[in-house]
Amino acid sequence: MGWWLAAAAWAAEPESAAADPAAAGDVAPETAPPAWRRSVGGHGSEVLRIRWYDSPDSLQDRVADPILEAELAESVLDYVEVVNRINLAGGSQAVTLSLQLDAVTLLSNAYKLDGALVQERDLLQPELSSFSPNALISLEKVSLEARPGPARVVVGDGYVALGRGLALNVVKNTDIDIDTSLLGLQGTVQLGDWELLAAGGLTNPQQVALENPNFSLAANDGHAVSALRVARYALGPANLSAHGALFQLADQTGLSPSHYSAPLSAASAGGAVELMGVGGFDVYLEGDGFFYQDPDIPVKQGYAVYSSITTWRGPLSILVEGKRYKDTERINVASFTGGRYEFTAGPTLEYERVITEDSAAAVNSNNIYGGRAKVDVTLPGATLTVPSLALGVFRDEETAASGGLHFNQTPETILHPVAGFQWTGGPTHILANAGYRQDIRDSDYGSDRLEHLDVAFATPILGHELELAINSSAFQWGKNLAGQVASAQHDFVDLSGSITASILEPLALVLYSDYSSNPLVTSEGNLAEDFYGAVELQFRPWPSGVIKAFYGAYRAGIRCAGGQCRNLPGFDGARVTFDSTF
Amino acid sequence: MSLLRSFAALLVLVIAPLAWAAVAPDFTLRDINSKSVSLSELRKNNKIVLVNFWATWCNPCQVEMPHLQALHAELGSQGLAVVGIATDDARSSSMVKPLVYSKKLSYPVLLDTQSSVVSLYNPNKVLPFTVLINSAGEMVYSHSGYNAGDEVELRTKVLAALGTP
Repeated sequence: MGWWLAAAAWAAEPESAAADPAAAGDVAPETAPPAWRRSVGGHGSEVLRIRWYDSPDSLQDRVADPILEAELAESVLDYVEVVNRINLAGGSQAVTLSLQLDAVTLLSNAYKLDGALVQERDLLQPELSSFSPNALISLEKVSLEARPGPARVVVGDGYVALGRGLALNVVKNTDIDIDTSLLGLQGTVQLGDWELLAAGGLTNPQQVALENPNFSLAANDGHAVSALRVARYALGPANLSAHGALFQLADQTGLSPSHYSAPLSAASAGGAVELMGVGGFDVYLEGDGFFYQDPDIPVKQGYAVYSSITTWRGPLSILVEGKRYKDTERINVASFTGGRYEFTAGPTLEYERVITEDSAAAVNSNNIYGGRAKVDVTLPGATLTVPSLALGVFRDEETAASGGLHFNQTPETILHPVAGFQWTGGPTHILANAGYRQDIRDSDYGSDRLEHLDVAFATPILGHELELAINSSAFQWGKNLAGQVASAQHDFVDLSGSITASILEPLALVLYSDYSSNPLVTSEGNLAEDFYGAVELQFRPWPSGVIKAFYGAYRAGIRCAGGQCRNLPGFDGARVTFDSTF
Repeated sequence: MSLLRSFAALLVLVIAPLAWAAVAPDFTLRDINSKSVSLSELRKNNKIVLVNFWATWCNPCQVEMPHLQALHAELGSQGLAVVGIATDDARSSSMVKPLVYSKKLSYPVLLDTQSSVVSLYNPNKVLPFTVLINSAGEMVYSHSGYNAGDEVELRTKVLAALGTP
């Protein structure tokens, strides 16, 4: 690691010394590099995480909480986890070879009992071999990309999405620590106004998590996916496209051909029409059909329709979206691998910052329709002031009885207005959103209700930047009968906040606090049962590098991004992180 | 001996990217009006290019945008091409154009719905992420995140790359 730190610092040095006009007191023209350096080259990034997990003191307490016990893989003792990710890319402007090397090590993960060495947590599942039970080094992604003229060809790990992601959406979702690629072959070619995309490969989810605890790492499941898309752009004001994807789920991990002896598991096919600027409107309409053959999927067909209309009228910017999804999540459930990815993820139209255990069911519903309208108003002035108003209305007809994630047994109507305000462009900025969501049940089952507010505010004080971020929500349950543990359905309040003070550039101090009275949250506070606190020191040695030292705890919780939701564990302990590009 | 070889290999791995210039890989994406735009086109006439990766859900990205627009307005005619790359995946790409309009951005904004360009430049998808590419096609400056005042340093770097006092 020291090598990389030193190398990154060395890489930054010439730039800051020679090309930083502020340091030189003048602006110096850029010095042209020698010709040999212009044709080929490389760059990369380095990410390091060192996490010390502070386990609760009492074994008895842990055993008494089966949810927490399962979440943390029955760990009792403190341990240290080191994760290192190196990305390198090299080549010319037309050809790039990229690789990602991941490494994880667990330290203090063993003890002796009756003379026998016991590994407290299993970092690896038995089918995943490594030189040590407490370490894994993985060449996670490799790709060779060539861009000859109007074409782009990728051999190795690539990403592909069709339409608005309804038919296929295998892309990076690092916001929730998911990075699944297709390991295979992918090509795109533009011929005039025509564009053709073809891709085929095996799913390659990242094995080593960057931001979450690593344990029970499994071999890749390698589902086979192929995709085709043909698009015709600029046909008058219209863009037309047709696309399809084939899925063959592997029933075992690994890459043996015998895993793919079963018939095709599923297929999706559809098309989209896009009209640009017709009467001052942009219109997008997509329809997709889903066809299932996998015996584990209880239905044979599904469909999805999505549409958006966008227009701009003076200071108004208006977006109206509508969706109808019926049995579109079946392939995701059938291939479910610990939430590591989803094949299909269409627009949810949800405000994903405040998804709860309850509303996650609507995100993943197999029988939902509705829409959302959002209006932004750009006010005149030197700074950029944009208030906004959004209203989402959905009808979710999936219930617990039909196999969905819902806690309720009746369909529900969802109303969700959100008001926003942004003030940016000056030394002080505010970004705020507030909303009230109701999941109104049919008959007399009442409604689940959520009030939420998030605010990001920053202003200079005495020459130092001070930033405040607050997220708060209060949730009240309706009547839920679907076998849900009644004690878990207590109304709750979630609060989280942070204060960042740029005390002495390039140093910043951050104070975090979390509070949650949600009994479904599987973590425990470090300050009190429901109360978490942490402090972090950030140091930015160069513009693309940051070192952070964190001590304290934050809570577990559900987090959604990119149409996918994950139950992320909490954290209690200390960690040092380093991120940089070079 | 094998240890020595491993050490030498690691050293080569470290030194190689540093000894070479950070060549900016070419890319082609559709903009918010479905027009195909490539880096090589943006670099025509010896322009330097400021590539800014962002997403509709990213708050710091939205705080940074007015400053990039100001740079574009001030230095666009002096050889600077600012381009935004929205890293929203396909499902939220409908939200990009309304945001561009409400923020009054006049520089081109491209859609990387398949993670193809972000994988090359910013594989960990840290946002916002800004790369300055000089007229020779080399990445001469990169910056992750946004804090107040970063725009001052960015402007200085752009001026240096333009050779403008």
